[in-house]
Amino acid sequence: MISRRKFIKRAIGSTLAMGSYAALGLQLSAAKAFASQSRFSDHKAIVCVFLYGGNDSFNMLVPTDAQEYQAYQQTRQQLAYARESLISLPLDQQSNLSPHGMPESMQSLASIFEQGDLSLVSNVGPLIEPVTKQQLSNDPQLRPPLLFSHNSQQSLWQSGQMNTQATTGWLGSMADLLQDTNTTLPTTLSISNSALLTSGAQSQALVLNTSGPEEFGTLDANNSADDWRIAAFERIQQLTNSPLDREYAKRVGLARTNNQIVQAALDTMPARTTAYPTNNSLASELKMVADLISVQSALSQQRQLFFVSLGGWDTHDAQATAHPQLLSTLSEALAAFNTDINMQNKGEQVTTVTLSEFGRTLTSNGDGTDHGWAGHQLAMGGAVNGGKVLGYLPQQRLNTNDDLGDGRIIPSTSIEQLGADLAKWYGLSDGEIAQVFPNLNRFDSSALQLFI
Amino acid sequence: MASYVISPVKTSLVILMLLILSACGGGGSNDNSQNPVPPAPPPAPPPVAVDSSHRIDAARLLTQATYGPLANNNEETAYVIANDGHEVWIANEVSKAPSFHAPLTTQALSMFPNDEDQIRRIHRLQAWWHASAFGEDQLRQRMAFALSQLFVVSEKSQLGNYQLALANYYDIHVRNAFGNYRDILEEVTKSPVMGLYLSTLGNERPQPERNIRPDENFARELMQLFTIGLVELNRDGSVKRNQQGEAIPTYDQAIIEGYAHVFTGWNFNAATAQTWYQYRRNVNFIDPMTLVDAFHDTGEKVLLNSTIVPAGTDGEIALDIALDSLFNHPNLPPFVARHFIQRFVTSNPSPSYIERVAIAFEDNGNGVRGDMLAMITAVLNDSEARSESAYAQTEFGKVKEPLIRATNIVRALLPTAENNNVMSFLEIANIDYFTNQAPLSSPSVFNFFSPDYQVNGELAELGMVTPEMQILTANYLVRNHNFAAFYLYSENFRNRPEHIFPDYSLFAETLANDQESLFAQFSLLFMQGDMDEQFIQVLQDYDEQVTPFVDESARVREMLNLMLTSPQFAIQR
Repeated sequence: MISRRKFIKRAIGSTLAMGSYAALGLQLSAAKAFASQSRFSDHKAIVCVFLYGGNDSFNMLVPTDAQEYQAYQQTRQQLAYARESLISLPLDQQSNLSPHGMPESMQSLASIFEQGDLSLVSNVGPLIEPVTKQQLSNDPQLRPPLLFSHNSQQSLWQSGQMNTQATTGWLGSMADLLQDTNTTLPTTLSISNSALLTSGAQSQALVLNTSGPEEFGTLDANNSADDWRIAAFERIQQLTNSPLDREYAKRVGLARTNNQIVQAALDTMPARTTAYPTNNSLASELKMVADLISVQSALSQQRQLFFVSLGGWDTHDAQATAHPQLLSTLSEALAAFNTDINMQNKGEQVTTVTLSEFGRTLTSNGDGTDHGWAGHQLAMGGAVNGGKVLGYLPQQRLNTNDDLGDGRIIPSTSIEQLGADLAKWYGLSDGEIAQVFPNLNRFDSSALQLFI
Repeated sequence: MASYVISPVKTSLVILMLLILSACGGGGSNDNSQNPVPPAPPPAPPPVAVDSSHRIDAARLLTQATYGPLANNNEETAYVIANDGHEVWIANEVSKAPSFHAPLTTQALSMFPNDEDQIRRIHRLQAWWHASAFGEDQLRQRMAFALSQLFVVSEKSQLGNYQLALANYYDIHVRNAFGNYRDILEEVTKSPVMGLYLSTLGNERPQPERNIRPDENFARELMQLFTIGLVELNRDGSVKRNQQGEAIPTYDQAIIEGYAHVFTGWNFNAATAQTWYQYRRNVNFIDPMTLVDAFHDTGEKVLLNSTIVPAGTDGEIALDIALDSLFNHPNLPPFVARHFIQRFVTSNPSPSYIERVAIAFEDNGNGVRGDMLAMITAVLNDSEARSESAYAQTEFGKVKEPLIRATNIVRALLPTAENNNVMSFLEIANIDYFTNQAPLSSPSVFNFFSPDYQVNGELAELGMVTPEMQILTANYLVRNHNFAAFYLYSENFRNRPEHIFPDYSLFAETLANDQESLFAQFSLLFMQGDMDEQFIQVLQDYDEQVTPFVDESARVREMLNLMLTSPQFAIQR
């Protein structure tokens, strides 16, 4: 059948002959030249990649030294990556680290690591305060609430507030601080969903498809056949008389306005040549992000925040086949994005980080792993302190001082530390950062050194 | 499909007969000659005339409890409400023959074959549309859909390759919609579809020497999402607080491990210890999983509320103990109550509404816990669902689920009797393109949206949650809007016999005779009777503009497009 979009454009209007032209009541509001985030003269963007399900991220960095590898294999059993298949990483700068490698499915990222544009942020997770295993066993209250529950831990990771009932996320809170009231276009653009991370007290992310903004099929301002319909539609939108109606109408109005702004900007986009992997949903999302970054000026956005995601990481089952595929999808998508951004000469301006609700157990359930606590994240971009493993790296052994039990590892870096480094690079003041991450003062905010 | 219209007269006759039969003395050992002549039965009361309050109530009931009012079923529903009451309406729904999805799915394959002779997603969704749009058993179908959002499995997993199995899983909910929750719990637990989705299938007892312990996936989500939730609740759904004012978790990691150890040893039906790992040999997504003792953990397990499964307990018995411990937990009634109230009536029920429904779930009046019919009757019959004063409350109502908004459109415009040779929903089968929602297709086990999703702004200030808003992001708001036009205007639909198409010919006839009467019909059909003069004015003005250029049919279509894209249609009150 014909594509739904084409069909709608064709079928409407032909059914309605027009005798007159109504005045267009549409406001193309803030497509005009109000600069958003006007205190910045340069451009920066943060891209958050949420890995839904809980990535077994300890398996992204595997010790290659014989003795350590053997210990790793003992722990992981059939979920250990084969030693000879690992890609060694150049870690000579970090003398306290033994040799490590990435699984071959992460080949594209290993290259970027070597080039110095990627680092691994080690052993990150929600923490009430820095804590040891002994302290945790003495005082269970030191554990974050509802550990190991998907949605609760997503809330902790995304809110940055140690609150499983939070209604705002740290990216959204940053957007609140930067939002220019002269435009309805949010600072935060999601190519995925309306995740908590992107919700501010005032701002909500605009969610776009990988193919760009959607068009209203029957409300085309450029099609005079739609004029009367548009006018009637707008009158109806005003007739709301309950909070639910009002919110719905408000959202429709925002979708209309914002989609037009974005489409107008994308219409000016110069062609780019970077090839993205096909059949890779994350790659498609990141390509749209790259598109939006390329028209940052037409969007009047000096500061941009992006949200994309990849699901499927909850590998309770069949992990030995599933995890390499996921890593490969992730790596190829990130690598293509990195190439694209560099070709736009924006490498220093764009930082991409992965987030995930937890790492996973070092022990297995037979063919998979269960929900853990700390995990590793990736940080990519020209400004990143690259080619490093940042933060303390636990060993992949059981019953160590890092092991809460069954191979659930206690974090040594907090979400606040990761987020605060990003926010500082982005240009927020210390006071603003403290607003976004209220518990930051419990941690050493200079410990991570995410940016050079 | 027969266009089945219940004659208003028939229902009353039935009741009259019942009155007569119950008024007669029974037979038995009495000598008839010694009995006095029984008094003549009282004359049947004259039927109550249907007035606008009944029609509005009917419109609201049909919107709440079905996939959408039909163009012509308001009057008969209003009659039943006026004369027999809502419980009779519900009883009628229960008595209708169930529409099962698995056979419909297989039928769809024969209509739309492929080279591989494989049942695909398109067949399951066609079947779903058939049951949901045409099924007589509307309340049962809505119950099944609501149950599928509680006991979530999704094709966005390995299950995507097993579409008939998914249809079969859905039928657990169709079958048990008016049965007992404990039975649903057990069928779901033993379902190989759920087994695959949450890893119970093939879950083994621990092997400590290999750092292998049982998979916790099902244990965790069973407790968090299917039964009791994360924190202790009062019967009215409010969160219990300890002396420090904190919420009290219902379970900890140790308890999860207890349940995880119970759910070991289960595999495809008739798998044995010898064939345990032979997936291809054993694969069977239709019959319930069975237990293989050799892979079941025989240790002692500590469950909720200090329930102990003694060491050496048989796996089937252990499963029963585990499910009973959840079934009997005090959280279950309010947890279930809130879910169904949110799916059918309002996103923000008062605590007392939740409590009344929870009570019906705890005890259906005959000492039975878990009676789904008693529960849904309590949901639909409650004053908060039915009364004018409750309806007028600011916090009342909900955003319609986008998928249900689509079924509303299709059902309101179903082909009339002569045209109902419809066999195919092909053009709208992949409905999630428009709605961001399709049966058994949520992004994760956390369903399409969170029951607590809150939008900042006016709604947050009022303390209102709006779960459905979570999937009405900018792109899908537009696509939802576009669905109306897609469906109304598409020439594709009209040219293909036996395919679903929107039929608004009767509306066009009404418009030709009496515009006001059409608006009254639209009001009941799309806005629960709530269309005010201002809205009518917009429709009239617009109609006046377009009338010189098009015929009645196109005029109706234009007005439908406006109605079906309005905020008022998107919201249910």
